[in-house]
Amino acid sequence: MVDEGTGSKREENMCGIAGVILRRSEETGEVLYRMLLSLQHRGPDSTGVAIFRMKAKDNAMLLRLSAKTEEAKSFALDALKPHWQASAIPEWRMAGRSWTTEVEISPDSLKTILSYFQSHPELKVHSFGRSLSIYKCVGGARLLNDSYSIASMRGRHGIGHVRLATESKVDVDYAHPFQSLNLADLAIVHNGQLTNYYKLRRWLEKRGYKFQTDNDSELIAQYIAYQMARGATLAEALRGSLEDFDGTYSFIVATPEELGMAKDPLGAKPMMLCECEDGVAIASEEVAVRSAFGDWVKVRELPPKEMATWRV
Amino acid sequence: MESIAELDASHLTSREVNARLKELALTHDKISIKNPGAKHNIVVGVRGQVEIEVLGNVGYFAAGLIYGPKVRIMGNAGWFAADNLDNSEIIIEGNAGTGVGTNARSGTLVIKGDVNSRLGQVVKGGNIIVGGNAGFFTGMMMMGGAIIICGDVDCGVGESMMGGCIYVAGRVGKPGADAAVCDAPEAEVRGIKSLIEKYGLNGKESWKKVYSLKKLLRYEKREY
Repeated sequence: MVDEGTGSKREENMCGIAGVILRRSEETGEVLYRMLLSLQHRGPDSTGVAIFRMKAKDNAMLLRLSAKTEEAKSFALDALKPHWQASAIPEWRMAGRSWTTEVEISPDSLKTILSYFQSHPELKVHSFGRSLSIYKCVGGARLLNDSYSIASMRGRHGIGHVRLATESKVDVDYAHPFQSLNLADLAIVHNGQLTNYYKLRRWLEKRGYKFQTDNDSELIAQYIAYQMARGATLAEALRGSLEDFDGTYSFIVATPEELGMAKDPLGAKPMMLCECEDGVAIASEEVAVRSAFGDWVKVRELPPKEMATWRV
Repeated sequence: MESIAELDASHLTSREVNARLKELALTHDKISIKNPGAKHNIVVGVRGQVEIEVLGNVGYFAAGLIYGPKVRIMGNAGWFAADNLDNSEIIIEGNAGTGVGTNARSGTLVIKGDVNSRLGQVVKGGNIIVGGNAGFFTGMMMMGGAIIICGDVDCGVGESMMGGCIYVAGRVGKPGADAAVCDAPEAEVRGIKSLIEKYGLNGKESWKKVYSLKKLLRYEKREY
């Protein structure tokens, strides 16, 4: 692939992940954009970010959807009409081979709408929550920014991903970040492969967790949601993942209050960390962490079988 | 008189940095690389008696496949730095990632900070010195040479090693398959100390030695 930053050919790697908490500014969009640009060589197929707004919505949920056909768009609008909290019809934007849109709905309507959408194979929910929005596209970080002005988005923290598709298709719905439909305001990004994906998926489906894709990374969102819905803290859920997941993985989880990460016991996937006065930056490569906080901050590689959380 | 060149890597690709380095190495004794920006694959494939100083951090595969140069990286290095080390000296002032020093044949690699897992896998010769701690599977399938860890080493040390030695000043994790641990003989400790002191590093008075039991893998002919 041609590197978007330098215009030269670079060796493709295997997905890149990034997460940041800013303690002294609100330019999360700008920082995440820089981090993803510097990781672009790790994944040309798709790019996505999850950003948490500074102020959560009081009595509304933000819902971001994708639709593959005109029919799916009409179906979505018909489902939403009785529930949305704006006067204008939501605007659909083209994102690769799908359209995406964002609507505000009443929290009371959420369950009804989500189950209605799940009945349509060409409709997918990308995110829902009081402060979370997930933007993703087929293509690189520059295209994502051109489509959604990511670099101008404000917030205290967020996560991002560049994808090299391995076991599932190149499609905006299969891009990261992922969220479980069972828990609002939680997003994950992942680098690696879960080898016991099917076993864990069946286990979660039996407990009522519905998957929107067959991307193994979605499992992480579902698993964390399952654990937290049962009362586990994020740290406890991450500790559990180190015991329950099999395969190679580094992943980052974001909630409105926290950022968390976990790295597999063999340390087969990289994860670099910087904790400084400006905030916390985690990423697959040092170059991305330094794009967030500069050349002379201390950066270290996280050891295998490690998990950590940080409060925003 | 020593001739010195400066190379600003800020707007260059890795390929351009290496191409320029090779040109400069023909006519200069010392080259300083500014703004490496944690790029991958830099200072790769350079030959000749030249000193290269990298004023910052580097990404993956830094200083790989070099023959002859002395390289000093003033910051951190990523995964697989010093791949195929041969007849060269590489000093990393910061920390280094996974798989550093893989397949070293001769020369010296020094990491003054910590290294992650799989340091010096399939090493055939030369010396690898770590000022801090090393992660698991250090010296995996090692065939010769020496790995010297001034701090602690994690479990799986010397996993399936066939030859060479791993010396550890700190705690030794559970050895890998076909590896055993003993106290390092005094004569060898004296040799280790004089070597690491050259690089401003210290160790304890007593060291552990990890060596191969040579029961697992049997080869009739060694490579060298």
